[in-house]
Amino acid sequence: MFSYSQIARWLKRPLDPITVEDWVANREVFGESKGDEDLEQAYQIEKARERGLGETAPEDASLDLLLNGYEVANVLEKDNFVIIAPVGKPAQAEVWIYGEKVEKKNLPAREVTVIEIDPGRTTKIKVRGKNNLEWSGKDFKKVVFDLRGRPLPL
Amino acid sequence: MTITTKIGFGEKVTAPVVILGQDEDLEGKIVVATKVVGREFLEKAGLLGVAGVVVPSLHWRDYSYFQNLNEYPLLVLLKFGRLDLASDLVEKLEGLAGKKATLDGEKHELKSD
Repeated sequence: MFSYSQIARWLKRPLDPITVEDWVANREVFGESKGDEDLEQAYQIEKARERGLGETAPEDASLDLLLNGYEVANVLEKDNFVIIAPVGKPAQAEVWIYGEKVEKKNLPAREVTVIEIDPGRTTKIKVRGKNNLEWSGKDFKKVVFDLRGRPLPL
Repeated sequence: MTITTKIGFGEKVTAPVVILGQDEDLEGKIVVATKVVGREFLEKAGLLGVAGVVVPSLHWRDYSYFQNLNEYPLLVLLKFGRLDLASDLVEKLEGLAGKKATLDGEKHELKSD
């Protein structure tokens, strides 16, 4: 059974160990039920990680599940968002967003930063970090920078 | 009458049923708690020499602790946590008072004639 610390690290709000343990134990015995989406997401992430991160993520995987439960390396384009997850050690980066005006953002290391982009806008994005990546595209609503480094530790 | 659940452990025992709170003599009996009980009661139950215990719900960490001790079979009727029984199930269980029943922890079952 997953421990409190395994589940708690993915939760969006703090929960006490007894509540988490009871939920996980019930999940194991009774299966999925409509209830706490936050806990269910954390559980799914740990289930995916239990299999070793190497599997291909399902098509309908949420962003959290995709980022934390599967191995995403460098660039992954999905539907209306793109994930940029440079391989190597965690490191900060800078991003330039070219469009009608040039915007520059600093991206902190060891964090996931989400940038919302005006859809339909042709946007070229340049990332400078330890691993130089360039990517350009349009019609993406979101660009997700995962600078925690890859591969993810289990 | 047979009650089947999904959570339980322990060997099969046959003994008279006593509803917790209705009788002070618990030794050698299958004790059925119709309300949530704490860890302290389950520890006392071992010392009193009960035949088995049935509870509405229990925190997982307490269940795991007593499962490792394995002093008596235990059945959890609902799920892990702190939940009370619905009144119709309470009524059904109270009807077992004084009757002989078989508690099978491994099969998660409480059976009476």
